[in-house]
Amino acid sequence: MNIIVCAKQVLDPETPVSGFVINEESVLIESRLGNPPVLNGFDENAVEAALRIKDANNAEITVVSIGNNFVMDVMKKPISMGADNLVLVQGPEFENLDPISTARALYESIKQIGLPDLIICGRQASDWDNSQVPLILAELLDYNCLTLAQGITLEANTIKVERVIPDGYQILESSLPALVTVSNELGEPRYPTLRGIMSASKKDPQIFSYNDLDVNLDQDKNSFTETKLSIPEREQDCEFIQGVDDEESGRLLAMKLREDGLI
Amino acid sequence: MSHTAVIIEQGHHNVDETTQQILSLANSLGDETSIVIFQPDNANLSEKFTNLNCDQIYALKIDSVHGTTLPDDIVISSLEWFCKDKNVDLILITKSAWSLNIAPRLAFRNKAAYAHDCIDIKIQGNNLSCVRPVYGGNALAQISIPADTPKVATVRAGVGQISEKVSNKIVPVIELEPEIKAKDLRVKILKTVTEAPEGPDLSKAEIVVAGGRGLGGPEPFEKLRELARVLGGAVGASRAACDAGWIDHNFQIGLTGKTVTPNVYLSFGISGASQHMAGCSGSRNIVSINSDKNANIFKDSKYGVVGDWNIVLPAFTAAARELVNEN
Repeated sequence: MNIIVCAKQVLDPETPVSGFVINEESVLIESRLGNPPVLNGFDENAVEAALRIKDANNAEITVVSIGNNFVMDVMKKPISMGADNLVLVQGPEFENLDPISTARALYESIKQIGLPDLIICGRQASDWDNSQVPLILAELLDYNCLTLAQGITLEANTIKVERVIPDGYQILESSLPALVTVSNELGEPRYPTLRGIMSASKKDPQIFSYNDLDVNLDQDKNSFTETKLSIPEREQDCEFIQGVDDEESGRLLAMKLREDGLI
Repeated sequence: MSHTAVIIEQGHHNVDETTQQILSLANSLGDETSIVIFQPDNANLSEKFTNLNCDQIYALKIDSVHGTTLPDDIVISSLEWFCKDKNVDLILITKSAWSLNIAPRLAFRNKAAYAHDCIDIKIQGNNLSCVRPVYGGNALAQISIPADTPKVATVRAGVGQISEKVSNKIVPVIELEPEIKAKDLRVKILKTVTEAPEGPDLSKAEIVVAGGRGLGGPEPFEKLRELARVLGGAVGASRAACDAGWIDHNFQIGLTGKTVTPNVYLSFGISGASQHMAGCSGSRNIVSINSDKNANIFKDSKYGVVGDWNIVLPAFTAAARELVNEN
């Protein structure tokens, strides 16, 4: 079976906030510390989900990403984990696209690659946290949409997903083809293997540019929105409670909270 | 004349603070406000909503063949039909694990602009201005959507004032039967399993005791449970602690876990990354114990102790037990 995983290169979410700077022109947050970007964490979970299917079945995994200024070491990580192919859709036209345009560009790219049996995406990207692109992509492709998976099982033409819900789970079922979004509850992504790293170094990604795609990124003017970014100030005057030692600090804190009627 | 509709999560039929807050937000944004509920055809749920301040309640009657937990496809098709039928300008839904699956597809189908997880929404000139945290809460994006564009927004729990209930007005309940086609249902729900964790409901608890990466293993959570029992509170955790397997993901608080709004949020060994604060910044009093005096969480805290939780926690628990038992 053919699986496509959608992945995004993002600013490392572990970047200290003091390193954040707003690029007014592109309306993006950048790091002034020069630390490299990373693969979006939930997308690594998506790669892991695809690899688990490949472990048990005959499957070919293609990773697709839309963006600009890709860092090749970052984008090749899925290959070093065990994915088969990498398609990069790159160019200045794809810089900081809104979710609908991103979904349209993915849709056109996936049509060119060939419609897969299964598409797996991370539940959201750690930069814009929109949680929107996979669901729109499913609408555009008219694929069955199964969200927030912590487990995926396949049986012939049927897919079952264990979906995370508050205080429990649901079992969803549909036929293929389908699009699944995965959440971190799926479990830690595997580490790249030495063999994987070797094959990633030899593997060249397939590159699509704007002109290779039959896509009009202006057609959604209807939902056009104007965006401004800011970095919030987070300051409250924290009153530190300090005793002669940690034990007394703990006791004093309890008394303080009692005094305030908080406990 | 603009029409705002507040969608109540399917299966949630208790009018809680969150519902009143989102309704009051809706009333501040448009001329006409509706509440939309999903009603199985054998039940009458609208009564609970009739003392709220809105123009009407639409009860969408859904064939019981779809079960008590409606599949996403059925919810989306019903709302798509409703928005067209009633000319809705703005849809508001509380951000939750449920609305996450519904709102983006509904917005796309109705060619609506979508603003996710908003912490502020207001009219600015002719536009609707929505503020939403991005980059895990480390930055804020202000989105401006023109008046004539249809809109869908999800709103973070705890945003907005509590609206006044009305007793002297009878809000009309209008039952509607959405047009759903057989082919709309594509993903079935075979089973829903929920197991409420012991103690008070985390998302409604007045006191939350939460632990993070700094606790270093599963055993300390037993001590947090003990403290929670003393205080009558609920236990929570950061995503790092859940991903490490120290505690079940049902206790995860943060951007992609639960949102809590307690009176007191007691944190032990949590650094306070924005992704975590997104789930607890609505707490009225944050109290933090951390060994790093520069930990981010102190910036959001009312009280802090810089120290080793191994020693502070038992001392705090013992003192709290005495104080609470004094009464």
